[in-house]
Amino acid sequence: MQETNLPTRPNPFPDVAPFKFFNKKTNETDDVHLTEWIWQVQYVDETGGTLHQYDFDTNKFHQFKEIDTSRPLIFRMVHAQDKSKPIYTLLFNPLTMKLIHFYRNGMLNNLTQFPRLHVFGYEVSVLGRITKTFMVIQPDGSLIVTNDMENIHF
Amino acid sequence: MAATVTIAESNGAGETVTASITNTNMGSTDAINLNPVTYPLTPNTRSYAKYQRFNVQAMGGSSSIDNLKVWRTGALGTGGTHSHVTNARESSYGGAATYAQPVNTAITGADQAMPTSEPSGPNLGIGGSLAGALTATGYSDYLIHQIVTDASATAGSSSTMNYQYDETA
Repeated sequence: MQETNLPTRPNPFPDVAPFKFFNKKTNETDDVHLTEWIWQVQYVDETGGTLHQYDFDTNKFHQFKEIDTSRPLIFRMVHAQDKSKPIYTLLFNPLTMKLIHFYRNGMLNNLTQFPRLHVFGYEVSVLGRITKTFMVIQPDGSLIVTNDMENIHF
Repeated sequence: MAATVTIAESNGAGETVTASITNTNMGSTDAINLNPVTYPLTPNTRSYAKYQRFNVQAMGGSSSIDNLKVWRTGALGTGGTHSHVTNARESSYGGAATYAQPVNTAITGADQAMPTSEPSGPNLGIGGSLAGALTATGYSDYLIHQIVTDASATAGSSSTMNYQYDETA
C-alpha cells in the first residue's frame, strides 16, 4: 500500500492538549483533539448531574452515545474557546423526542476540506410520522434551523 | 477532533491501494493522481475506470461514519455528448462492488449517471448497504466511475468531484 502524506483536517486548537478516550473496540486510549463546537448536557431530573463531550476537569472525551437520553436534559452547544459566540440550547424531553448530533463533512477530489458543520437537533413522532428538526451551526457561528438537511450545502 | 477520512484508490491487477489520492483525474491509463495531459483520452473512448473508497484512517473519538454521498459539479466539456458513469446510486443499490483491474470499457453495474448535484440520500454504501456505517477504521464500498466520450469530444474539460459523509462523535 502506498501512503501519501496529505493534510488532514487541521486541529483548530493546536495549543490545547488532547483529551483521552478509552476505545473499547481497540482496548486503547485514544487522543481526541478539541473541536470548535462542543456539546454539554445537564440532566434536569431529581438525580441531576452533567456530561460534557470534552470534560475540562477530567481531560476525558465522551461520545454522544454516552448521553442517557432516557432522562430529561438540557443540551447545549457551546464554542470551545470563544465566549463571545452564542450558546445554543435545546430542552430535551425523552418522552417525545430523540436527540440528534453529528458532524457533516465534505471534501473535493484534491482533498480540499470544507469547514465542518456541527449539527444537532431532535426527532419526534406524531401519529407515526417522523419529523426531524436540525440546527446547523455555520462556520461563522450563526445558526440555520431546517427540517431537511439536503437544504444545507457547502 | 474527529475522524480522519481520505479517498483511497485501487489500481493494477493485484490491487495496489493508495490510502489517500491527490486528484481523481481521468485518462487513458490506470494510475493514481494522473496528469491528463500525459494520458489524454481519444475521442469516442472511455477513460480507465476509477475504483475509489472512503478510507477512515482514524476514528478520532467518533463512533460512526455514514451517509456517504458522491457527485460531480461542473460540466464535462464541449464538442460532443459525454457522460460520467458510476455504480453509485440512491435506489436499487447494487451492493458492494468487487475490485477488478480497471479497464477502459463498459463495466456492468457502473452505468448510472454520476449525479451533478448533492444526492438527497446516500448513494455509496458501506458493507454493501446504503444504510451501513463504519464504526472503526476501514473502507466504504468501491466507487467505480469513468468518463465516456464521443467522436466530437474536444480536450480541456475540468470538473470537480465531491465526497461527503456524516460523522457521529
